[in-house]
Amino acid sequence: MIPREKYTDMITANKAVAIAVTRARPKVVAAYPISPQTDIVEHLADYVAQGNLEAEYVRAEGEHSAMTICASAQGTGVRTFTATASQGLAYMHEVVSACGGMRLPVVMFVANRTLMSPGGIWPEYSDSMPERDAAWIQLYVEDNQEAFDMIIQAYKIAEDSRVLLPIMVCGDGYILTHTTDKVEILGMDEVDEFLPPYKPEHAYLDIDRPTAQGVIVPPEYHMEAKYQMHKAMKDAKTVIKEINSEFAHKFGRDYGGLLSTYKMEDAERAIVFMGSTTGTARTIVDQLREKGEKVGLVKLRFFRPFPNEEIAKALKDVKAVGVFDRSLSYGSTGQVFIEVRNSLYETKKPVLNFIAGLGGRDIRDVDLHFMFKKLKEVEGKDKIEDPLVFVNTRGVTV
Amino acid sequence: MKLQELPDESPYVSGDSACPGCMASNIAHNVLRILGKKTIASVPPSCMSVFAGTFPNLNWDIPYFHMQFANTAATVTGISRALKAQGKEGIVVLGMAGDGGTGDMGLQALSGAAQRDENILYICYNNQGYENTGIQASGMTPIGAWSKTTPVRNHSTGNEYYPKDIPRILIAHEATYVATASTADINDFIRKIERAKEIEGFRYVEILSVCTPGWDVETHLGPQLAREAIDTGFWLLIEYDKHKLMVNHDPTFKGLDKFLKKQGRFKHMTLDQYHIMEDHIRRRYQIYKSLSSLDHFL
Repeated sequence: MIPREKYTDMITANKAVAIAVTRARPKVVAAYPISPQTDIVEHLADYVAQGNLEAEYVRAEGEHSAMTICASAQGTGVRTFTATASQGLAYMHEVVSACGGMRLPVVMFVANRTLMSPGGIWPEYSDSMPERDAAWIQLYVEDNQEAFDMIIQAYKIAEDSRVLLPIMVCGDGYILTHTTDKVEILGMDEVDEFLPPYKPEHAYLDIDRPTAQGVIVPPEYHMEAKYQMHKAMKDAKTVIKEINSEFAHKFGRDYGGLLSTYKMEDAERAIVFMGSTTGTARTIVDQLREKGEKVGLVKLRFFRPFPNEEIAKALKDVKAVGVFDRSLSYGSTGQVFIEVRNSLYETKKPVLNFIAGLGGRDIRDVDLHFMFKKLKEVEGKDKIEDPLVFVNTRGVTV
Repeated sequence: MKLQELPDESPYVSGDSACPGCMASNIAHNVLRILGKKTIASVPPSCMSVFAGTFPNLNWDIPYFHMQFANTAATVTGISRALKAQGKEGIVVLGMAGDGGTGDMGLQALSGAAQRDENILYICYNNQGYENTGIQASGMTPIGAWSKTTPVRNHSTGNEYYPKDIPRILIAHEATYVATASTADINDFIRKIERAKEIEGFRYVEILSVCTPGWDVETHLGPQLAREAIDTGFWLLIEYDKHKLMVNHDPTFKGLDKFLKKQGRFKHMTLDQYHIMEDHIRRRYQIYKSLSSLDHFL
């Protein structure tokens, strides 16, 4: 049994997510195993079986159905949860998109894993990145504590009447999902106070108040619905910041909202990181600072909605910007790079794109040192022929 | 209830934009006359999702949920589980899909829901083809039939494959209730829908739905063809309830050639093709008949 009270434990991100789900009290959990999230649905089966979670636990016959079950249950007026990764997320894609458009505040954990081919079970963001246009809020966590905290926050953000969009909480497969770290588990009562039981105020299936959801909408009415999806995504930025502050005030952990910065006050060069790599990069920033190098980093937390203004503000004083991408849009650049450079368009700063860690390749301290070194080389340049830098890749001259 | 006792009004209200003579529209109307207003419905992309579910003209005077092609059984699963979690009882959760959405793309979700004995009523209106997209063969199109993807040309003489038998697949799951029905035998139809409404667990009813453009028949012929389909054995009335299988009506097997010749989709058939169809119909009847007499169903 999970204690009701607040406690601290050494656990994996998968276990932290599963316990956070019991605190959020969804009424329907759709489960289908896939590495590296499988033990989330295993833990949840256990928690339902031993009474830690009162929920309908549906062993779906595939991820397409798992996402469908979450969407239609949410559309019937209950809080839901599912978790997936890689091919599982790709397999549910058409329902992921429907769920966003139907404005159903489903919460899903994605244990980031490479999307084939080549096959692999190790971390990469090529699974969640293709879902960027599906009208889902998308956030990336750095460690197990953040995974726990953001599951709780995710429900509150998604269900806010100004938002009503589903959220995928993304965490690096294995690096977080299978590695134990210290996590403070918030108590049941304090989470209940922060995140009260779900009471839908919008349209849901109710025989006393018939509504239709997800129907065919002809061109005369279509664009307005799409505009509203975009507006909700934009409005979510305010809600994310508000809920971050409320959480920080109540529980003492301030994640900075859409992004956070590290040693950026007087930084001349900075790299934008996402996910677990941010932790290692902080150490490298410290090492370089000891040598007198004025470097800093930005931790990008939310990829959708993308914090254009916030990232431009965070990077306004630096002379060169690097963007870390753990995925690549072949024939273009990394997906985060596209967004960051777009945000910096007016500033004409040199921006490099570091592609690293694909398919789970280890991102070593020498690789991070290399990124900051490359950045120093372009400082002051106003033209960059090719921003792409493949880090630690055989056959690529850098 | 008898036909005369059924309410004239149906929560599937009049004024849909189905083709003249469409039997699917008729099936929806009659099913909902029996199920009533304590019903939540989901229809995947299909004829019915277009002719009765295009905003702002919806014919469903009950909560209605439209999802994708392959996941009707999973959609109604989520609705049913959410109602259970909320303690809401006595509501029929109805999934209503065509044969393509049931037997091809939808088969995985259907199998999952049947195996988990989800508390849902799944109705397949089987018009024997992808008619919404303009008459293409599905996995449930009869052998020999013409369609736009099984053309009749020099090198092709219609559909070369046997149709999938979904009721038999679901009986293999030991599903709670599996039946076939036809509006041509309205008493059998009413009894089966009422039975499916009354019990809990996974319930599947497959109803033959004459598609006038897809079958290339005159628009007034639907009811007559539905009747002849039962007599000829082309459409078999079966019922699997409490792990017991019954064949509700023994066909005479007479008049098959005349029945087929009335339909443009079969008019090209050679004598060889006719015998293949006839053998298939008799074999399917024998399979159900022998399964219904087995001891382990008692």
